[in-house]
Amino acid sequence: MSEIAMDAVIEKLIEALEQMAFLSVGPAEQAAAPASPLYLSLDFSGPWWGRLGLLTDQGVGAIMASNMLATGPDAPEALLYARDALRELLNIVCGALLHDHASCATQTFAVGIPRLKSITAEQWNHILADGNFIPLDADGLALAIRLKELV
Amino acid sequence: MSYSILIVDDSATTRAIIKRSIQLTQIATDRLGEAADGRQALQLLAQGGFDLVLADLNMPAMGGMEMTRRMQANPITRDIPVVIISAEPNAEKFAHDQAGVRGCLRKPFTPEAIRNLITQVLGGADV
Amino acid sequence: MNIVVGVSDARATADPADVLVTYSLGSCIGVTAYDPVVAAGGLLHFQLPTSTLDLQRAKDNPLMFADTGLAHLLIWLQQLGADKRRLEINLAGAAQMLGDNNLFNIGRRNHAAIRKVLWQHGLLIQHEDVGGNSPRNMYLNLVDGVVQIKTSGNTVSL
Repeated sequence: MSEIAMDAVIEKLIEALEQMAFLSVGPAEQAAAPASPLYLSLDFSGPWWGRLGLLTDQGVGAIMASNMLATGPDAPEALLYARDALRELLNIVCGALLHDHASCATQTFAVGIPRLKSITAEQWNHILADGNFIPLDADGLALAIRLKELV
Repeated sequence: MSYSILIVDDSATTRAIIKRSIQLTQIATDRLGEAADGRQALQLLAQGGFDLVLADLNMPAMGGMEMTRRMQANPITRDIPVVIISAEPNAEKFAHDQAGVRGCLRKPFTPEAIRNLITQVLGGADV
Repeated sequence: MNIVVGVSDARATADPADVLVTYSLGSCIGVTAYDPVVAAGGLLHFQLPTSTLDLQRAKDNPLMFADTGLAHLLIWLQQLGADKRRLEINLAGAAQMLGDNNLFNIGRRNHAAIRKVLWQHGLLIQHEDVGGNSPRNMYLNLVDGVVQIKTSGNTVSL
């Protein structure tokens, strides 16, 4: 799995946010714990086993949902669907990565269901300190992504 | 001619973006139904009247693969074309091999890609 | 006659003899909107993704930004009798210019921004010629709504 460069992970994340959520992503020096921190993860198995992890703010999900639904960011629907939008984002990034990196059509992967939980600022810092998360900026809000090999 | 289309996806935001994309095309629609998984979709399809199903693959309760197989086994739903819209890594292979599947679009998609796909599958009539 | 649209500028017209043209679209984006029923069309050449970057500049020149620029263009077209539901939208530009970071370049940001604004207005893109690293010239012929792009001596119709 080490064949998948983090650049590819970031590219897939940017593509997914641009194409479906009309949202641009920029680089960030660090990812400070936001107002409403969330941790999402998605496991996959097949030729490689791995876990895609995403640290972000509930606000990123609200902006995504607002853009996708073409409502204002404070619209009730945007808040209602914020977590759904983030789960779908992780699902899309994972599927796009595995699709591009399967070496032939017979290589098949099983992708799980994205898990999401609210965390504290301390938990955010603890997960981030585990290493290999790439910090990013989405409309001024924090985002950090990691691809981890599972054995 | 006006069409009835069923959108099957466990993500409510994805169903919403697909629905709005269809509404912004010149394709006339009678009904844009929604289902959150294959089981719900089969219940709606059993009532009849749908011309096209747009389905995700990886969903809880029942995924798009099982749903399409069951549609094929039922004379009422066998002839309704299915288009796969999924992030699943193996989506194209399933779409190619499974009877009844008329197209495949990988996520992430743009609204314009939804318009182009539906226009193509519905044969360009009245669009 | 040729009407030149400058950088951070927009024009709209319903004269079938007119051709709207904008030059040297790099990371900027040219947006054409044309209503074939009344043969009214407009061209916007914006530079930056969103007016929230600089509200004062957006007040001074709203045509510099994707959101305020498109809003103005749509109002002008409506005044010429165009119906938003009939508009044919085409885009060109969003190139990655020399020295601009590949993953996070301004052309990509401009492209995401105009797509968002169009989506909010309920408008889908008919055709687009975006990305790459060459500057483009964009032409909208009012007589038939045909949009042409010139890049490095090559001309294509969208």
